[in-house]
Amino acid sequence: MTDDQIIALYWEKNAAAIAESSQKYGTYCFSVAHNILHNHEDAEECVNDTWLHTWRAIPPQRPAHLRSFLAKVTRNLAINRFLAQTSVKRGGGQLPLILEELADCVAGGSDVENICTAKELSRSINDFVRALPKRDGNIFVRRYFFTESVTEIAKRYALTENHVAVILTRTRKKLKQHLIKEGYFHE
Amino acid sequence: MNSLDLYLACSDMDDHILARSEQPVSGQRRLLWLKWGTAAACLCLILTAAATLSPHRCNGTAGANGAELHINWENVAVNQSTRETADSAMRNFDTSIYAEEIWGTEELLSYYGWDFIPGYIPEGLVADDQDLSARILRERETGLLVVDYTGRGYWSAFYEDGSPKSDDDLYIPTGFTISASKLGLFRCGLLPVDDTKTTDFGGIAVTLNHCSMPYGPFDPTQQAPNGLYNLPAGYYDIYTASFEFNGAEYEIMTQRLELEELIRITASILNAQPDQPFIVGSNPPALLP
Repeated sequence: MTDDQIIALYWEKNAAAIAESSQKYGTYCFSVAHNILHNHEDAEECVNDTWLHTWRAIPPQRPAHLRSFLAKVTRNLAINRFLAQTSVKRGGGQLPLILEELADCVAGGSDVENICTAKELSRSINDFVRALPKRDGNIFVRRYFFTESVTEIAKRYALTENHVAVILTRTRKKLKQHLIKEGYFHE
Repeated sequence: MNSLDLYLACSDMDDHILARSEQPVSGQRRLLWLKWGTAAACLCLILTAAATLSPHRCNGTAGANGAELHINWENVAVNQSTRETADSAMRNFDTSIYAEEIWGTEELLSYYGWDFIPGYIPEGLVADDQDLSARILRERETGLLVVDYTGRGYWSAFYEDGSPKSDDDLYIPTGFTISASKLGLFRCGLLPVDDTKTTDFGGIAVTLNHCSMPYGPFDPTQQAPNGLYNLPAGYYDIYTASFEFNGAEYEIMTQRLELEELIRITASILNAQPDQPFIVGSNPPALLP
């Protein structure tokens, strides 16, 4: 079934929408959740929550890219679950490592007067990724949106882990400079 | 704002960016670096005349791969080369006698023991997105390896096909290649001559060479000072570092990079203990045996 057909089912409030979503994107959403939660049971529950939230969101929403829409919903639910478990410091998985990596980008002083809304920061990050070379941008997204491990990313792009790590380090440095330039931080 | 805020801000990533990152990656192996690396090296198939770099720079400390790097510039010897016409033809192997194999990352990792990604890569340079690969030749009758040459290139910009391109008006790409052969067979490169001096890199003798290469447009109405070609628009630097490491011979060739960058790259490869300071030039230059 095509994405448009699945979205049409949601709009019709047809319960088959959930079954079709689950069949087509269940594994995909599970991997998004599992990368963050690092726990099979939690990830499964999170995916079930994804269908429920999608059911509530469509209508009125009509996502242009269902796959990305589901990934975002799953990611947000997984993060909330992760934070609710207060396992940031003691939990396993990629998220604690990623937060540690990103801490380098926000090191230094925050310019209180220019603290932006989350929306503005998201816009700025999107601009930053668009300006990166395609491959580096993709690797950034796989790491910091999809929360994939360096090993998975290396396999996906046929690179060595060391090479991916070098690219990510360099991209984080660029991100820090970008955020400083945009006035989110000062050195 | 903290790292979690930054991570959360990534939640609203543009759909097109997300979709792009999920597109399958072509697994086609290419040997473009070899083609370019060879072409670039052949440009300066030259004879060298040893000359020690005049110690006009101060001794310094610089980071490479997080390790502390000390460069004792008085003991850094750079063999100054002059361009010389030479036979740069590749050796031809009769395929009825020699069989060709293409080795991928796994075979080369097993053969050379590392992935040709140095701990230090100058800012702005990236490897192309191809796997490590090599065209290997083996004697059909005995199975003996006769060509095991491989390597990797790092450049500031690339064409669509993955070959390096210049990112300015000079038309000369900026970057470097790392080449290796356990058989000591390089397709072409700098030829060591009498009185070549080596520099000590943490106990390993490294031969550093330099030559200035002309770039165009060339003025057809005037000759260059050496009388070999028309007057060029200018010159750019090629440096090479040659050494033995883990049973293989290596040559790193930089193009349009400073000498210090070559030293940093080389040091980051040779430094077996990245948590310890690494010293370049702890002993005076020595003649190449």
